[in-house]
Amino acid sequence: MEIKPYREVTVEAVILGLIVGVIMTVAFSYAGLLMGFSLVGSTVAAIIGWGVLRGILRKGSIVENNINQTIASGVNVGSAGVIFTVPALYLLGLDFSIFGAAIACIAGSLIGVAFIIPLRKQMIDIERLRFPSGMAVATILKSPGAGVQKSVLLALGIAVSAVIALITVAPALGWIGKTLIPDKIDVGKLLGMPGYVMNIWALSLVALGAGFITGKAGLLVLVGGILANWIIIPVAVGAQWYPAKFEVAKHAGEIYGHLYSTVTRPMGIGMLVGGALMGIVVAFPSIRAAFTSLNRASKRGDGIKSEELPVKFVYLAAVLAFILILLVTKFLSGYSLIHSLGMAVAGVAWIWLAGIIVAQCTGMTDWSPLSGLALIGVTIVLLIGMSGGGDPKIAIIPAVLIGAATCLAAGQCADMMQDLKTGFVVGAKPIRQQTLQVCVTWLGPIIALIIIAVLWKAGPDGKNGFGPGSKNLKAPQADALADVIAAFTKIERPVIETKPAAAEKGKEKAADAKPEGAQDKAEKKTAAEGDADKKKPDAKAEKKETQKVPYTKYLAGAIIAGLLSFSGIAGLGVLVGLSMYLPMKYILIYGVGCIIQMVLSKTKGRRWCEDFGVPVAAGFIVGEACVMCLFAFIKVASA
Amino acid sequence: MYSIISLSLFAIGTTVAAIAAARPMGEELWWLLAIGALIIVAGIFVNRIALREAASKAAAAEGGLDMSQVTALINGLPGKCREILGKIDASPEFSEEVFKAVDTISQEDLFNIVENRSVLAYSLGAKVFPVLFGEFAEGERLFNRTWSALCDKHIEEARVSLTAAVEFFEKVSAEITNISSQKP
Repeated sequence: MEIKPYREVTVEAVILGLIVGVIMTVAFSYAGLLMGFSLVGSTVAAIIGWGVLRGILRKGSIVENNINQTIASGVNVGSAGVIFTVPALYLLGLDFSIFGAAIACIAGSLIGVAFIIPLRKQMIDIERLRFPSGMAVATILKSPGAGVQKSVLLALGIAVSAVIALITVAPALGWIGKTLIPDKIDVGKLLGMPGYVMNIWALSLVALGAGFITGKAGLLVLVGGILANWIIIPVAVGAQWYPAKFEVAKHAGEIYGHLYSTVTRPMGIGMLVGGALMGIVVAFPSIRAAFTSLNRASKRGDGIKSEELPVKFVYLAAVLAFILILLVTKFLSGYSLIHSLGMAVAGVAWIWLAGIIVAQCTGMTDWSPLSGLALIGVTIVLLIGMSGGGDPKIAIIPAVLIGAATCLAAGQCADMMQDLKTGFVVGAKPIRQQTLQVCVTWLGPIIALIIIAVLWKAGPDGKNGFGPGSKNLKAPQADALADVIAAFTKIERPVIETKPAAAEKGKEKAADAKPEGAQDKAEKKTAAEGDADKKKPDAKAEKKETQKVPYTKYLAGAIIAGLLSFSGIAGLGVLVGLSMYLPMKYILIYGVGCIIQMVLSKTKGRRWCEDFGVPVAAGFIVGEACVMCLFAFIKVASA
Repeated sequence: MYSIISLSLFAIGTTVAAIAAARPMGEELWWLLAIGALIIVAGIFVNRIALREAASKAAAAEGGLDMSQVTALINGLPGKCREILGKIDASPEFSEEVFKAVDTISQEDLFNIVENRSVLAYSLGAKVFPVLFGEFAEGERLFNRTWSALCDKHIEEARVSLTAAVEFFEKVSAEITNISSQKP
């Protein structure tokens, strides 16, 4: 009797993954412009996969469903990179080639998937980073064979998380009039703490679940958050390291916002960069081992051991992506070849580093500082572009597109590693996941670019379809990026007649489910001030004064994290940097998850935590993710 | 003890350095940042002692395994896997007993080896550990594939994957035995 091959890469899985991926990309691109954040739909794709492949088609296997979710998330992850960056070009009133943008985005995505291949071994096999979302997806995939008890615990986690998330977002959808469960609790206010001591707790079961799955290693994030928010900022306030125009009693929130944006955030970004660079030096033996293993596998060519894309592919993709980025910088800027070469080299080097940073951050915490890294990419390329003393406007387009490429590369790195972690747990072949991700990586950015172009032209007079001039689609991330670029290059943003007054904008409550803490408010306030500044020349001059690039903070952060990388604790520098950058409200609840895991691990044992705790924690991640996706779909449908 | 001291030094050094750098632009106290950096460096050296301690019997006292126990687990893997392969060959139909045996190895043996990998890392060193543990991880992934294939009741894939996993486990076991025999 002929034995049928084990179902892994099948037509059904590929088609389903593409359909789910495309639908999610369309919805999440729109939702990203609407709400300012994006989602990755691996968990949703895995659940749909079981329903379709096994429920309807009656033949799905675990590794086949893994292929479905790999493709779906590989397509869908492209939306975030595009919507956070490219709309800034529209908002700045710049004419750019959509074809050039597509080239840059595809190059970024390709670099992301290729550059992370040699790091799979180090991050997943050796360091055993937890990748909480990857573990959650693996729990879903393994649920048919994990026993009734684990499945019940997973379902319980999903149900609790989904119900709480639904009640939290219900007012934003107009389903209920008042808030039954707040999305955050201001514990600091309840305890009578000063407003500049950030003690707000987000009621996010995703953060709690991610903390539990990460365990003891994640506690470093909490320590970093405490250092930034409860030590550095209060010390800075005590020493009056803030502008004299603020009074502590009246402007506690503003002082916090100022110190966050000029001290802890840049120091955190510096730490991310320094920690990642030194992390590569420290992990060099592992990376060399990975390259050796890839080389050996390529040469052997035997069926069992060549289960990873060959190292030649990494080199080929790097060269190809570099050429594409060079073409973008050369032909979209009009600079000399040498000048364009400098921008392209710096851009590709930064993209590579950003990818490593994001993969490491998501490996430990599930969070990635995508927009911050894109902003640095834009700044680096702008600096090189403007170094010749030419018109700064010329440098903006390639700079933003390299920023988009950075965002896409970093997103692909993180997603690929999450998928490979899932794949490791279910025993998938990495080469199949990597090949398919390479094949579909271009699709997400193209769809997102088309959606952005269509939406922009759908506005009055064939423009302003999103941004401050739009009623619903505020594109907050791209709007903030456009503000920063305008301030940095000293160009004027186009005046939009229908723009709401700055004061009114400040009062607007984003109809998103993400809780709004002082860090978010501080960012929004900065954007609102930016709008007001366009009408007041004096205020604008003052704003530019305060927007000096804090190089010394970046440098100090890089030095500290560089040293911490030699601590012997994996990713310490990067994690502390991430925690200085992230909103404290999520860090606190994430830290609680870590502590619960540690306590249960001591009292009940590690095995108990894996058997009972992880399925519930994975359920928390899945439940909230599903509701947020549903929320995005409903918002898109009703907008 | 050393672990707590090193963590404290990291925390103090980072705090001192970060506060020194948090002053307004141009007023940073670089000398204070250097002191913070020196404290971090001291923490790095103390942590090396802590890692050495973790690799010794002190790890076992904390509920972990020592090197001899981890080695015993690794050396035992090929035999256990071959036993399962024998059962699959004897009866090429899905058996709950075989699935349970695979599940037990996954949840106990592999779990304990991975949880105690820092002991291996210290004993084998920065050059050998990534290579050897990388090979072990390959075997582990193939073993996970065996679990998935059995769960999907695809016995042939389970047999192929388990056979491949055993090759990796045997290789790792042989190399660890070789390294141990060369040590005084």
